[in-house]
Amino acid sequence: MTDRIPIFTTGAVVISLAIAWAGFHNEALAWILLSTIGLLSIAEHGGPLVKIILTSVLGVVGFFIFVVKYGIPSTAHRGNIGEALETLSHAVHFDIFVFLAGLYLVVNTFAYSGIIGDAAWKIVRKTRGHLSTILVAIMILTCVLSGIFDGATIATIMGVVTLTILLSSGLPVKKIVIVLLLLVVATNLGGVWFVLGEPTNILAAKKLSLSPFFFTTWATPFALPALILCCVVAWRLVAKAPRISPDRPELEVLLEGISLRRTHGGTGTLEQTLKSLGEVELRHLKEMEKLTEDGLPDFEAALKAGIPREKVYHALSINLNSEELAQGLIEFYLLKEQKDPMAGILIGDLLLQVREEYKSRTSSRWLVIASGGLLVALLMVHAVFPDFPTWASTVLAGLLAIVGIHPRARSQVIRQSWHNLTEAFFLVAIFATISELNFAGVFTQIGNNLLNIGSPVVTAIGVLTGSALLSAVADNIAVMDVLTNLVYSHEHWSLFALASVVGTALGGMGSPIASVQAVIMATIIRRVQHVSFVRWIFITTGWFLILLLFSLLILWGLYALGLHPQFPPLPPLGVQSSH
Amino acid sequence: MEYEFTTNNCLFDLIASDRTTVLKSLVNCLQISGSIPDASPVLSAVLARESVKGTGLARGVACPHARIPGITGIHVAVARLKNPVDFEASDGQPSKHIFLILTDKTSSPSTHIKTLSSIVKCYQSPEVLQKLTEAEDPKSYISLLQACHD
Repeated sequence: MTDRIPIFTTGAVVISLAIAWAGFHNEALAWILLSTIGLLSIAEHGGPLVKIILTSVLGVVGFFIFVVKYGIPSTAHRGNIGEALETLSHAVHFDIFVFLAGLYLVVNTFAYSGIIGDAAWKIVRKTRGHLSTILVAIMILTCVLSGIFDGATIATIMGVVTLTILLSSGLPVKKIVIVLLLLVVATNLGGVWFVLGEPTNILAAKKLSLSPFFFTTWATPFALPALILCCVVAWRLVAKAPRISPDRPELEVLLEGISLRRTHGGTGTLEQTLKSLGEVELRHLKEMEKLTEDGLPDFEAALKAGIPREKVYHALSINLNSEELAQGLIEFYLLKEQKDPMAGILIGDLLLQVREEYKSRTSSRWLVIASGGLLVALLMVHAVFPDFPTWASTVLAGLLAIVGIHPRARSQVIRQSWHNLTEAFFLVAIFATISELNFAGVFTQIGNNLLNIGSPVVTAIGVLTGSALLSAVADNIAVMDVLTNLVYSHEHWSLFALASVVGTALGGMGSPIASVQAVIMATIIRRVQHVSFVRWIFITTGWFLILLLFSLLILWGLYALGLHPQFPPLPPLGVQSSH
Repeated sequence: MEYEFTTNNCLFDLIASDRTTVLKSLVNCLQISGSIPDASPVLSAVLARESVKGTGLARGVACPHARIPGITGIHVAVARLKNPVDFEASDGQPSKHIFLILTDKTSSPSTHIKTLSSIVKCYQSPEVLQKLTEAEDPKSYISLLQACHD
């Protein structure tokens, strides 16, 4: 499919320019947004270069259409090209990419040093391998921590730990993806609980002079039942999954395989490597894919699907960058097939080898742990002093992390972080086009329409639904910025503020670009499966609608009982008060 | 056969309450017989391997082992325990016949496993195991093991 991308891209560009030439500039931007989403979904399986070229072409075309009609916003006012570029950088959210670059350095260093694997394994042992208990604990912990700390950090840490545990459980990939998407819901829900949980909360609190207790008091009736729902869904998803035996280190070795594969230079999955080596029958690859999706480790699936042993061995050696490990894993498979107890002995030996390798990867394990501590501390500094940028937290922590890793392993961590970043970078075109629509006043128009629907409760329902839907496809900070401007002078502003806070949080799970947490989780999920933009929306639509309906009912109930926020009108802009 | 079972490296009807005691006794036995110069690093390596995953096989046989840097050849010490001790065997049974095996660090895990498998192949035969359990002295015990490998 990727070979047709240039043709599709050219077609999308020509159509958008034709629409713009006919004078329908907003429609042209909407078309380029839809084509971007569609094309990026097709390009999911492409390499980083394809994605970067695609995102650049579509981003530039969108920007061109915007400039032709509206001019560059800052130059229109101030005529300074430097400020125009600053506007562009805000539109594209370059700070998020700097933030992610630092974050990936920390997380990859943690993963590479074995600390995350150890933590995951300790959780399994503590809970005696009950997957449902583990997942409920993770959901609650993620939700609560997201309220206190930065949601993006919590999403990264909990996402990687959960993925490690789920892979060791042998759960089918489809279910793993669903659980990880539930984590996005949990981080977004947790975010509404406290002012520091979400940047949108900080923005709303600042612009509407809301006290920190506003979120804890008024958002709890929405967040608590939704959290319980998430826990129930997670519980039911794995209710029939067998207990993870704490004595199943063989799976840990396989996880190491995945970890090594990632860190040793983006050689991709075993399936991709087998394809690239050629001479493997397609039906065998399809059978392998099916077995892998059912939860069988990939190398076992390859052998079971009938792919010749020497080809699997060759591909494994490339993926693992270790002949010994590849040979050992194949020998393990053969012994296991023969039900020979020596399989257990061999896997123990392989595990010991991997652990020794872990130790040799760090020059100081304490420095690596300290980088995690520094990251949390600096993010808390940002929460208290919002002028301290979040990207500085991850960049400083990332630098400390790579000092802690052994020099010979450093390049691999940096290479892996770059690979992760390119995966996230391909969202630039979507960010840019949406920001152009925002600058063009599309969101303001939608917001105004929402505020004129009718009675306060109907309007609040409209605000909640609209903010959720808009946040699902657009930057939730931009949505909150528009809404707070619009509701400021409204009589029922406090009710609408609550609806906006809940709506933007709900929308944060609606698509892979809806929130920073969603962007991060999308890149974590890519380690096990390519989830396209369209598929993400398809998977999350059901939950999204259920949670939305749930929230609307609660909002309506609170209003009917008179339990909604009823603050006096806000003073004219410039006069401060606190609620 | 690159190794041999000897009465010098055999602890017959050893009384030990746990895995660590068994392993200490076997490593000391190898040091006393002159097979290894220093017991301490060997014991650490064996315990490290054991901490990852127990080396119990099945039918009361366990094969604790380690790949030691600088060691030449293969060194084996055996013990028959008076009271079986848990080595986390796949069948859940405690182990009575313990084979401590030391090999060179340079051998790969899959080569190493073939060596281990050949040394403890008696576990595949319930009849041989029965005879080993019924052996009345170290000499007959070692003779049975030798016969199993000839």
